[in-house]
Amino acid sequence: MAGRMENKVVIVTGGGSGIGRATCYRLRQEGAKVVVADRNQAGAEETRELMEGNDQNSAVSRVDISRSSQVKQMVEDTVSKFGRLDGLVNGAAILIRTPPLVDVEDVDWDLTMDTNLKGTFYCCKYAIPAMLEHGGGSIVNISSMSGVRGVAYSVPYAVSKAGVIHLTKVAAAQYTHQGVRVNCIAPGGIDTPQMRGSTASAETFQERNVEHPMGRVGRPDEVANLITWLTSEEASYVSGSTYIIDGGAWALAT
Amino acid sequence: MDKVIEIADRAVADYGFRQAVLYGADDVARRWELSDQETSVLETTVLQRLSALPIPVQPEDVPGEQARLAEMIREADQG
Repeated sequence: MAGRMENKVVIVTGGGSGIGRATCYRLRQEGAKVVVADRNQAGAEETRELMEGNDQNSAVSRVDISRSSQVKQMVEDTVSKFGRLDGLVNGAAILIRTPPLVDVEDVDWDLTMDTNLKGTFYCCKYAIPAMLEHGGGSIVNISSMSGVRGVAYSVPYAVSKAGVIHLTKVAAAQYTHQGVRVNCIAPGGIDTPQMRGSTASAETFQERNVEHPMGRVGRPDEVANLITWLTSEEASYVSGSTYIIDGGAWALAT
Repeated sequence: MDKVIEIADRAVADYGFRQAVLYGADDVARRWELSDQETSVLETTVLQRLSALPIPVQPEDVPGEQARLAEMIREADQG
């Protein structure tokens, strides 16, 4: 039986680890042709191996999404190889912990914004025209609960992720009528290298597990399931939305 | 090599910044206005060590790891 994404071509940025990796795997399971995009080429290659990708159904793209020329090339290479582009998952991001706002250094703000927000903008900018060539497509931007609520541990990360939510709405408002759906997800704590790294200690990570209403943080494959649904035609009437996926933590807190 | 040691210290202490250095060393070198020699040490000695660090470096291990890497940087500069 054909998968939900059979022969659809999807780029996943940040595909070298965490949620991006799980998403590549899930999309491939559903029959998609997956471009694993990451500036960590070794990680991207590992993802491709894990999803048993071959030259017909996958590719690796080493890309720094903060560089517009590299993003443009990534999209061009994808269309050149597979003939089309149907989906984009914007998962690449960095999280640099910072002190409170007045002590945030320019370089941390710039590094974060350049990847998380400008990079997402570049990927949408170059992917949308390619999608329109074949009648449309689906974009899923990965924000964060840090973009929904105020957080203490990283000012630029939280602001960049809030920006991703609004970028999603603007893009959806402008391109839904042309056939490009644009949606966003806001994960809470998910067991990824980024989360383990950002909690800064094994003890803190374990506290996050225990304190969560479900008694655990989320898994990357759980987020990948949502992304895959949003990317597929099963979500054909969904655009401009932000889906919180945090095990109910935000609902219980508000 | 003070700037390189500063970069290394931050990369040891913060995983997100470590990622920025590991996969964007040229960008970091530009932002910190490193010399050719400093960039070379960053892209060799520092990246090699950062690649081997656990995720994350536990708080009690950060000072020791920073001191170890600073020493490696100074040796690379003299070598």
